[in-house]
Amino acid sequence: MTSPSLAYTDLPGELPVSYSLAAGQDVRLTSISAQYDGAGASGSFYPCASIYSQDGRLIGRYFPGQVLAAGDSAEVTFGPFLDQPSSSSTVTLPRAVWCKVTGAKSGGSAVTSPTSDTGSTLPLNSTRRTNADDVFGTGTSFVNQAPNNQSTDTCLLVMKPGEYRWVAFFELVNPSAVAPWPTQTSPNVDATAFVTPSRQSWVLPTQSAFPTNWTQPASGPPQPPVYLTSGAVGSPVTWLNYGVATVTGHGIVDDDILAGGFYGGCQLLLLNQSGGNVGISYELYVYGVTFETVARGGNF
Amino acid sequence: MTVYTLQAPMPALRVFDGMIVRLEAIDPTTGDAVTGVVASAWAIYGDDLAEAAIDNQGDVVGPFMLVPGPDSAVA
Repeated sequence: MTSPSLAYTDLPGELPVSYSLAAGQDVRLTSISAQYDGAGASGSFYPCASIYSQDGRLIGRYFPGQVLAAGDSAEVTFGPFLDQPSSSSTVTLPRAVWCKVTGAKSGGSAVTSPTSDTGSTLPLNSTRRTNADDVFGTGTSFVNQAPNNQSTDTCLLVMKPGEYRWVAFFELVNPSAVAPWPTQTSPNVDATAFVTPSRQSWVLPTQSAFPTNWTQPASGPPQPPVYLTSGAVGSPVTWLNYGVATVTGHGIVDDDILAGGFYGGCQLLLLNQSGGNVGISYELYVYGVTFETVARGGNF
Repeated sequence: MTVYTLQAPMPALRVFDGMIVRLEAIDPTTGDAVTGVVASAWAIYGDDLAEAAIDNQGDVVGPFMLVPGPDSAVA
């Protein structure tokens, strides 16, 4: 059994000062504390505790990260696993976040081609749910931008750097009553996901699995579409008439986007390729891990 | 003049007779001693391993073997 004990105390005076362990002393160091007064110091310095062997060889030299200027003083505690809290020292920690958006939309405009008119943007800010309000927000980054070019555009914004996955479920509904309406013909849903005005944020590997029957707008942000259907533009889409559709994807938001003042965003477009009003209900789930920089400090 | 309260990492090093714990003020660049720094309220705290060694003296340790006594009969 070992007993922690105070091995030595002193008011030593001008440095350097030494304590030599006496014969029979055998101590595992757990803490050294001292006050350093640099009022008369000849220059800046580290307040240091050093261990030397019996023959005077330096074994270890320990000091905090803070340099003391001449005239400064400090109370210093040396101990295992201690580290100096510092506002300038940061560490990046992961944080799990999620968001759920639900809603319904009716009355998508009649279109003849997705390149000329692309329907209605689903209002993703209507029923936002999140466990991290500073991570998911809503905004107007896509207002009046292609492909929808509507002043009512809003989008879900991902406001923290991190890696996210998303899944969206759509169900066809009566455009008038917003209720399931399995006889609706030929709507198409384009999940234009996680695009950003900075043109560099999102990677959608699932895109290649769908036909690229989409013409990129001449200006504005890139719009990588993820189509729910395999039909050609303008052709009837049958499968959505009798079920719930799902689209998935993932992407990465990096620090450059945030530093540049842009956020990754998600915009869902409701397309109607065959004319007439359509209605749709939807659920969008976004979940991911943010990599957040926090001040490092204290004891680990 | 700034007054700090600082912490510094130090391993739970075992030190024993003849070894030296030294307070120093060193130049941040060269490591050379800086003169004129005065220390006070110096305290060293640790586990007393010498006491542990005394505690352990009563323990029976080491290899040993049991052998049959004189009354043991082997059929």
